Order: sequence, then structure tokens, then C-alpha cells
Amino acid sequence: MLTKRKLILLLSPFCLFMLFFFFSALAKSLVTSFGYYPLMGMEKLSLHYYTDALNNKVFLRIFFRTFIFALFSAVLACFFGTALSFLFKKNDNPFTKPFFKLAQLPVMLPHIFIVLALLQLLSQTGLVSSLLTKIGIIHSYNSFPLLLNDQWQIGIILTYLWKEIPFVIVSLILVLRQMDNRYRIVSENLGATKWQTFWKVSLPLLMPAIVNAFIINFSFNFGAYEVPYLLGNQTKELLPVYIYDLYVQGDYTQLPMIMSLNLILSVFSIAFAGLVIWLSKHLPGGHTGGI
Amino acid sequence: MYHLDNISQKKGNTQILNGINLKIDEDSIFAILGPSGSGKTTLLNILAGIDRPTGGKFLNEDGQVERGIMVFQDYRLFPHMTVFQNITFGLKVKKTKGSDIKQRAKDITETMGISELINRYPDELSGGQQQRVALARALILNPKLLLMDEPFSSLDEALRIEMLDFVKELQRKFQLTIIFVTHYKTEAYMLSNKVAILINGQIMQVDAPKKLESNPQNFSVAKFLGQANFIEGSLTNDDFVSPIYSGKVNVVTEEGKLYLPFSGQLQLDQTDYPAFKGKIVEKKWMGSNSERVSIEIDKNVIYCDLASESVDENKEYQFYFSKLPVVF
Repeated sequence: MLTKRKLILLLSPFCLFMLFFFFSALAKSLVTSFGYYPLMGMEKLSLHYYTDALNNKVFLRIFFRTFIFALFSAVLACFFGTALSFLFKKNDNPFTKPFFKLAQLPVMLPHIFIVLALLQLLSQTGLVSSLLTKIGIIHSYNSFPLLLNDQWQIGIILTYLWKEIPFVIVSLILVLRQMDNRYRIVSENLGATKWQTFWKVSLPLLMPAIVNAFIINFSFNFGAYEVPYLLGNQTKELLPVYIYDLYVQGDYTQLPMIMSLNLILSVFSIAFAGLVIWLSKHLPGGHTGGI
Repeated sequence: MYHLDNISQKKGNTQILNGINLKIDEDSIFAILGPSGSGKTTLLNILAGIDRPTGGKFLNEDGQVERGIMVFQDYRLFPHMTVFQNITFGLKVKKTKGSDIKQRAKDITETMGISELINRYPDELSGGQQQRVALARALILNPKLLLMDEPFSSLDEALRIEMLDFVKELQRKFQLTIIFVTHYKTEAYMLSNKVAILINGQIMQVDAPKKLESNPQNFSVAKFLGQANFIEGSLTNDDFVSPIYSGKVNVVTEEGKLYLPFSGQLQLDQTDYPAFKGKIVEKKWMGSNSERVSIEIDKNVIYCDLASESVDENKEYQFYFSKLPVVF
């Protein structure tokens, strides 16, 4: 058995790493966001960067847009991921086995891979557009609908779904396989139809795993920068791009304001995850007894 | 009466059940006893309508297919539902009226002694409580046929005996037909007067417990029931020769093994069937009325249950068979 001293020694590298690289950065951001930035002669602590941000209509609009977008993408990924998991949960089927292996692939590939693939495929001068022009379905490249850098963020949503649906599938199939048919058999023996069994037994038992996958997807969508930067629309900016754009402008007097936005984004993301977990505890399946 | 009519089950190339024929009286407890892997659970799944047999039928008295409600070995209470939600699940999916559900839940929880637990979740219950909830969840549906898969295997000894009595009481109260499978023979004997022995997917014998022990029909049954000495020897017609006993035997099958159950076959009182002379080398306490003695005969040791204090250690005694011994 591990002694207390051994445990502290074993955990110390991780703790030191967290202390220096995470908490020190967090503390620095926090202090800066309160207006303390001696490098620029700013030494008075204040909350006004936060109050300014929360009264800034542009910021609030972008914030709300980012929230709705992140929520929509995460819900969509969970919906399709859950549906596909139920369809492909059997591991002894000759079709579902390779499907599961294939589904694991996008989880491992980086976002930039699909961004470039989408640019090649779906941009107005891309492969699909050229093909449709060649076979005469559309007259010219310009008639091809704008799917990337568009106002509805279709390109970003497609990229996220491409990576997140497989992530949901991988997370849920393992739980579904662990559950195997144990509870389905009981439910049907007690007289439930397949549909009732799905709604009252299988789905609630899977709910904690779905909620987990949703939180991870949402947090990523809400805070991700590179995909919205490459595939987003400049007139419909998303929050991480907005904050980064402000940062790279190089005006150091703006740094406290940028840090306050950054922290609002982070705190909201954590608070929203907490809210979802709290809500999920009150849904059917909130108490699973460790299943 | 329920009829199991030539039920067979094959999965891939494996024959799990092979032509099971049984008649089971209504309003009774029927035990199916067999070793692990003998096909017990498969058979029960067929009776519960969970699996479909590859051959044969399971019919009730009216010639209708009937599905039993199953109580599983691991109880399988829905972990995300409270005790109340678990118990009323079967009624809810049948769209029973809310007031009826409440009344029936109240009645069954009182009968099962679990009224205090209705708001708890399964992981907050002990093994015994979980079993009562699993029984309540089945019995609230007023089934005619209740199926139980190894129902007491996860309970400790004291609770097992308490639950055995409780299930007997429930059977009488609800006039149920209970079919249960187990690999513990004491469990089967305590709960049922009629026990079927299932080995390798085949029913080997259906009898009362006493008859099973005294007259196993073949070597597989005798071996499974255990608690017996099997003595190797040679057989010529009905003459058996071995270092322990040589003489007339009743030949059932010709595997050449003399079957001497620990209890009921050997005794000290004289009969027409003298067995052997042997020295008592050890005695083990088997309860207030009997002890298991180790008898040495010509350097071979066999075991036998005798009345307490009827023999002394390190003394030699003449033993007799109560009836002509059987050779399988």
C-alpha cells in the first residue's frame, strides 16, 4: 500500500506542472483582467473590464451567437452519434465491426485535416463544384452554394460533426456493449415493447455517457479557435476568433480587457458544464448506481 | 399442467438442449438441478420467451404458449429507477391506471416487507432486499408462472434459508407455479418435492429428492449428486471384484464403478448383504445427529455418514449394505 509520503512524491510532478503552467497562467490572466498590468503602468485593481464587457452589445451578440452555435453543433453530434451507436452496437456483426473501427479514425485525425479536405471538396472552386459544373448540373462555379466561410457556419458545423459524431459513437458503444442485453431482456420480459424499452431503459442508462460527450463537445465548440478562423464568416465572427483578433492587434493597453473576455468565456464554459451535469442528475438516468 | 414438449436448442454447432420433455404441475414448485453449463439458464430463457427454441414447444394446460416472468440470478433491477419505479415498471408499460398502480404497489411492498424502501435506488439495498424487490417486480404482474434463475446463489447461508421459506410462502399465497434452476442440490431439495436433473442438455431423471439420492438412474446423475464413493473394480455378470468389496451387485450400467453413497447405504446393523470389515480412521462432526467417518479397508479409504457416537476411532467394525449395491 502507498504511504502518504510516497503518494505525495508520485503526484508531485503533475502538481508542479499544473502549478507552473496552468495555475500560474490562470492567476496571471486573472490579475491582468482586473486591470493590474505594471508593464503598461496599470496598477489599479478594478472590475470595470468585466462590467464593460458585459455591457458591450457587440461582445454580447458574438457571445450569444457562439453559444447557440456550440450548443447546436454539440446537440446535433450527440443526436446522430447516439442514433448510430444504437444501430451499430452489436460487435458480432460482420458489418458493424468494421464500422466501429472506421468510426474511431476521425477521432484520431486532427481538425486541420478535415478543414483542408472540406476546402478541397466544398469550396466554390472545389472538387464537388467542378464536378457538378462539368456534368452540367450547375452553370458555373458561382452557382455552387457557399458552404464554407458562409453566414450559417455550415463549414464549421460539418467539420465538428465529422469529428464529434465518431467521438460520441466511440464513447457510447463501449457503454452499450458493457450493458449488453441485460436490461433489455428484463424490460421485454416484464411486457415492455422495444420502443418502451428504448425510452425507459436503454436511453436513460446511456444518459450519463451522452451528457459527458455533450459537455466535451460543447466546451470544445465554444472555445475552439482554428476551425472558426479558417472556415468561419468574417461578418459572423465567433468569440474565440474575436478575442484572438483583438490580441494579435498588439495593443497592450487592451490586454486587461482581452483577458477579462477570455475569462468570461472560460468561466461560462465551466459553469454551463456544471449546469448540464446538475440538470442531468434530475433527468431519468441521473442515478445509475455506477452502471 | 405445463408441457415442455421436445424442446431443443442449438447455437452454431453446439447442441445446448436436446429434446427436453417435462410435465410440470400447476400451483407447485419445480426445481431443475444441474451443473454449470448444463443448459439450465437456456431452458429458463425459453420458458420466459426470451429465447426461441430451435425445436419443440412450451405450452400451458389449454395448449397455449405461455410466457413466464423471470427473476434473474443477479436480480437486474434497473439501476436508474427507485424501488417504486422498478416494481411498477411492468404495470406502467401496460398502461395500467395510476390509482391501480399505487394500490398494487402498496399491497406487494407490504407482502414483501419492503414498504420502507420504495424511494431507494438499487445500489442502496442489500442483496436480500434486492431479491425481494426483484420478486415484487415480477409478482405485481400477477403471473401464473414465475421463473427463477439460481435465485439464492448470491445470498449468505442464513438469508438463503430465510428466503427459501419466504418463496414457499409466496407460492402458497399467490398459488403460483414456480420453476427454478439451480446447481445447489440442497436448495432444490428444500424448495421442491420434484426435481429434474439436467446434464449436458438432457433431462436425466425427474424424482423426489429422497429417491434421487437413493436411486440415481445413471452414473452421470450419481456423480453430479456427489456425496458418494465410486469404487473401481471388475465386473463379471453380476459379480463385482474390488479391494473393498467383492460379491453380488445390481448392475445398472457397465462402467464398473460401485456406487456407495455416504448416507443410506452402509450400516452397522446386520442385513443379508455383508459389505466389508474396516477400521475407523477419522470422524467428522456433521451436526448433532451424525458424523462422517473415514473407513480404511485394506489401505483404501472410503467415507460414510453414521449416527453420532456409533463408532470409535481406531476400532474395526463389520459393515453391511442396506440393500444390494449398485454398479454403474
